[in-house]
Amino acid sequence: MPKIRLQSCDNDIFEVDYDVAKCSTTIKTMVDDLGLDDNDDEIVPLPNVNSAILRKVIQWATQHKDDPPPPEDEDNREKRTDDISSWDSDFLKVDQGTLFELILAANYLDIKGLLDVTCKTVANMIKGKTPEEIRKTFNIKNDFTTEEEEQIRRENEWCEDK
Amino acid sequence: MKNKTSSSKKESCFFCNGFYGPTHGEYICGTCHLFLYADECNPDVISSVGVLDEDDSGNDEPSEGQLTNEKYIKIQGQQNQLSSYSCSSCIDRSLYQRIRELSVGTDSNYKINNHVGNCNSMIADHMTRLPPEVFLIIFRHLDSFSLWSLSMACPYLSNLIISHTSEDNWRNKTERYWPLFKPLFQESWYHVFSKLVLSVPCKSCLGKMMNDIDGKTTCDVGDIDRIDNSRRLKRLRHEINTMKNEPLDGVNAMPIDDNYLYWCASIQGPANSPYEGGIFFLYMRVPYIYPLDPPKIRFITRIFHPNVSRHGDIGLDCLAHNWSLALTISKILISIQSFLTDPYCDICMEPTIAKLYETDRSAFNRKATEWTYKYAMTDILPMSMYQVEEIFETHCSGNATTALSRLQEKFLCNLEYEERPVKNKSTLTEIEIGFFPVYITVMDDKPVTKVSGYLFMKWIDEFKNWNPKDYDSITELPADIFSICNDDGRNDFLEEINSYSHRNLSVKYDGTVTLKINMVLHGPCTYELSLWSYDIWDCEINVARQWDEENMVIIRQNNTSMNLFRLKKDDEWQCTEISYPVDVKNSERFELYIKCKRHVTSYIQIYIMPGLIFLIFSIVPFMLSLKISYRLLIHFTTTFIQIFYMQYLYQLLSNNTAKFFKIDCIYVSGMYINFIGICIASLNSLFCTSPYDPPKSIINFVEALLHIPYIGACFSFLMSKDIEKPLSNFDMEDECIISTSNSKKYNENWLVFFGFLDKFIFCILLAYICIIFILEI
Repeated sequence: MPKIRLQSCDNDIFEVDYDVAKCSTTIKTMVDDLGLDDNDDEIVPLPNVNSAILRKVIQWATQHKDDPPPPEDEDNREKRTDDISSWDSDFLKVDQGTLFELILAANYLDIKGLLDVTCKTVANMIKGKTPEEIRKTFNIKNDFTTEEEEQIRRENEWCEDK
Repeated sequence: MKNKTSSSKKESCFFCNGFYGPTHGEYICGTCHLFLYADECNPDVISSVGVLDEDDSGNDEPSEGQLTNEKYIKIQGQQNQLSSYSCSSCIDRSLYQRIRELSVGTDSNYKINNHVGNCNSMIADHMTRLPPEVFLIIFRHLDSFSLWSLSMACPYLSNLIISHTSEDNWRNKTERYWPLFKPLFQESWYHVFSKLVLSVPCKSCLGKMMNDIDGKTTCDVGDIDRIDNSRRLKRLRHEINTMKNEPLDGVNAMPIDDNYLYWCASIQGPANSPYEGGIFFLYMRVPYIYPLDPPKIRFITRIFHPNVSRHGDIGLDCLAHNWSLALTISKILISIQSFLTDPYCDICMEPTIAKLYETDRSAFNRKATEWTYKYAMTDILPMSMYQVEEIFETHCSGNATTALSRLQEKFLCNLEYEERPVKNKSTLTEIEIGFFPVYITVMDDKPVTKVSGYLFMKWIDEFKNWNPKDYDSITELPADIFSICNDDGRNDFLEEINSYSHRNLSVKYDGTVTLKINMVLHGPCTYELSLWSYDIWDCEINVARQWDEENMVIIRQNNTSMNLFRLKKDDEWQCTEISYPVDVKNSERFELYIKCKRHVTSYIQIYIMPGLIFLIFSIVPFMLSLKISYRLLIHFTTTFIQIFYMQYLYQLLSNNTAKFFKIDCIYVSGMYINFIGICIASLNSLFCTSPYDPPKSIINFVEALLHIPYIGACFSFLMSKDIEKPLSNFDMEDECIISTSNSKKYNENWLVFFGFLDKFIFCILLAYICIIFILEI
């Protein structure tokens, strides 16, 4: 089995199976384009991902390496969020910082499944909450001013008129 | 009172005072909500646990003993089951979990919340650092309520959500959850949705409600099977039909799902109450054992009322222990509507409001009106809630001391959207539009007219009246600062009016609202009035492209006559003045009719020609004393010509003039023709009776009789009320206004009927004449 060596931004090197690494479309294309051989010592640099997150990502990818690719559905209907597997939900019991880092990493590495499941987790955190609650949960600063609120309303009205 | 107003801003829960956790902008914290409204949060428990809250409509302070141990354990058991298979979902944050969170504090969510507190800036960075495409994925997983919540969280997300969700999406959602909501003006659907959500008393229940409607809550299917559903459905269908066929005033309800389980209802605020003008929405859950159990009804529009709790629950005995099988949904809604005017204060849901109602009625009214404007007028007020608040703060808080400002706050807030409410369904509104073209120039190779004109509207708004004695004897209220409704600005013409106009709007103490707009505008040479928001039938009025010296002279001579507009295609009709009496029906659009003068030639053509033809053809045979068969032949020809002429006129008029001309001319000429017909026929029957000629005199007599009903119909049409001037007084210089209303249509039907009858009998006569004719030969 060919191995691929990934380098995180803090210069740690992870050696993973090609099967695991191909979960990431980014890495897969890179590898396919470069045509890496078995005995090649080429290192794939991932400057946007730190070691801790990369470790988590690899852990997830190892678990899910045999998963079929998620179905492509681009309809705008609201999707289910309660179908997260128990392994995933345990895996994602992390603090928010890590969760968002994971989302960013999944987005950067283009791992559809991971991105989907992390986004679902965030959606679940948002669901059923009032704006105030959401702000508290994610510590978003409420920098709406009343004028701004009005401004947004007006702008939208204008769009509507057109 | 003060507590109530600021309750939304208060941080601690109304019930536990912050003991069980933060409230997040609501008046009640999540734990208390789950505890108090357990049945709301888990509909499947309803039947087993029984009514928790309805029984004690007077007491909103929950005592510990209220929820017995047994019930509690039952709920806990249920929640335990629930949480075992949906532990990851945050929607089902059950009471059990909540309590565990509080006592043990091991839940990861809880820990994260604490964690967040320690490193604010870092986490905030995380959320906003996500690229938009990731947000879009998250949005796709959210239901509309959560999406809305998220959009309210910060400006960045708000912009992102508004720009990446389609208006149709918000529109669909609004129409799904508030099917009875009909906005009267165009606004962004996102904001409509947002305002509706903000007007809901309990947001967590709203989220629950939306999930229920969308069928996401697993419903106990066995429950449906167990109970014979057909009788329930039959009864509900019957109720829906009754409501459809005999709509009740100000009350409406419709089912949202196919099982008729969830309903949306609306109640219009009764007149002369502080709720007047508002539309209050209710959410209903009709249980599967209905009508044995009453439906669960809750306000989903905030209302300031002693018998409606801040959670939206209604303290009405017939919804709980006094429920009877004879009651229907519409009856319940009617009784809810009636208690809006007469609150029952001895036992109530909100003692503070009841106290206010009994001690300080004016303060209660003011507050209730403010709430109505804030929450229940989403369909007519384009303002946001804080704007309404501002208006009420500046005008209604008692600081407005002068009579003028009191009047202004009372009447002018809503003046821009006059289409509703009007008590009396048909209030006559006068509209007059006048144009005075000044000159024509060529601009960008197109002929352009400069027109100075005016628009005058006058209507009676029954709500806007006051007693001058109470307001320093002010009888008229100028309202120049308020602009008129521009509808949705779909017409250049109206836009021009707004840009170059000088407006004058005033309200008189008897409710007469007058609006004058003077305008100077450059426009195209052709105005199609049919494009206006007023529906003007298919009438097309063109400004003449070139007017000759003569017409211009007329303007100079006399300012009031405007010999400038001529009807398209047809030179014989010259429209010299237009003004618009309007029949306003509740919230429908105006219908416009044209008032105009007629030209001489057409007058002769329509009124005199048919009579003349008839006269000549009838009298000549007598003069010549021809044989009876020839007389009959000529008589027959005359009638034929008469019919063809009418047809021709009809075609001529229907092609290129306004509809009313058509009706007017046909009926008027019909009346004339038939009147002459009567005269001639009776003369015939009188003078031509001879012993050897009985059939002809009978024919004539019968024909004379036949004309009578037709004349009657024409006459009744012309005499009916809506005509401001009877046509008998009609002359060349005069103007006549004909408008059609429902009563007219009724007459028209009769007219058609008589016309058919006439023609039918004419055919029989024709056959008879032919037989005689053949016999004679």
